[in-house]
Amino acid sequence: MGLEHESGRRILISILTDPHRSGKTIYFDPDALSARIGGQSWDHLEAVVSLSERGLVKFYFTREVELLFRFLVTKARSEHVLGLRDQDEIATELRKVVTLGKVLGKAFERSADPRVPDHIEVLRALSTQLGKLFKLLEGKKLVSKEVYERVAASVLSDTANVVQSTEGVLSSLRSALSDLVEVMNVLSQERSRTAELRDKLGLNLEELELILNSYSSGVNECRHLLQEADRLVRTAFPNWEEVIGSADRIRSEFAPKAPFVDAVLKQLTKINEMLATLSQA
Amino acid sequence: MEELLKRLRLEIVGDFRQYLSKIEQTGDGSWEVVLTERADAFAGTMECPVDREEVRVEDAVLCPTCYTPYHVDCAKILASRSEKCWKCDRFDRFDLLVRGK
Repeated sequence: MGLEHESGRRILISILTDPHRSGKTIYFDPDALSARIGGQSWDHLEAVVSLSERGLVKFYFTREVELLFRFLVTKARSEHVLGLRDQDEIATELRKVVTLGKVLGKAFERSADPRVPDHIEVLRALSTQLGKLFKLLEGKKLVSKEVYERVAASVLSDTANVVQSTEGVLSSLRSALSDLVEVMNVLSQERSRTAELRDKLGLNLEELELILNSYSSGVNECRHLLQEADRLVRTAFPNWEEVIGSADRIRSEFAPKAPFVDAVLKQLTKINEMLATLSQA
Repeated sequence: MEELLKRLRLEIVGDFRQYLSKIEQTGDGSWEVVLTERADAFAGTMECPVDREEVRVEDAVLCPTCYTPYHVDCAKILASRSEKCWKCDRFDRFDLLVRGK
């Protein structure tokens, strides 16, 4: 009862009296609802969800709405991992995800991903250790085998400790970026497909324009998040280019004796591949 | 991207009249009283005030001021004559409600 019930009723009356209602059905129009009864889009959707839970309203949705859900989940996760929003703002974003999830019948569970900005120092330490391995490799011919192996063992031991403390955050970053790139590619493909359909039809339908503009803004938001990720990675790894450029050599030299070097370089190379989609798109 | 919410289609199902009348007894404050008065339009047999025939609310055009239901054809007549709602005598833009119907 209370506020939720009242807003549900106001929404119901607005729907019933909306001139755009066709028989029993109407498209959800948050702008029109806000103009009539005030409030925000997502509050309106929450109210309609409460009506649907009471069996008064049934939802029908298309693929675009499912993509919106996927986009919102990915965006909220990326913004959290990259530390772009505080916890209250993330909670607001997740409220949207949960509400839309109820519409689509999709459950959403929040995972406790580590945030990159909380681990900058340890990532810098990893960057330093990988830089040391590279320098060691460069100077291999200048020192005796014995000295080389003694120094290598010491650097690898320190690197092992650092790698252990970065596993969680790197895995979280890689996974968030992977989802982000995937969603960006799907939105981009759907945009091309929709544009092709519009051109074939030869019509500028309002619905198609809405979908095209939405996909474009989605792709732009994904690109913006990737740019933020790129900036953050370069802050954490001041010698990023050197690390990536020398990854194969470091791996072939040290991975046979220290498999963790292989694992961490694979993570970093994957992260770099995903950041590289920025220049490809 | 959130503009895609407009691709959600809603269908009114179930007995919403019962829902409305139920809420009108649980509220408080003056806003509630106003809506109770307006929600009277949903109680009992729905009758179009123009032809006095029964009308299903989900198929009707509703006056946005007092929620009195009209058959679409009856509302078109009011629109063509620029008449006000026969019940509340306030709303006079039925042309907006029947556009495209």
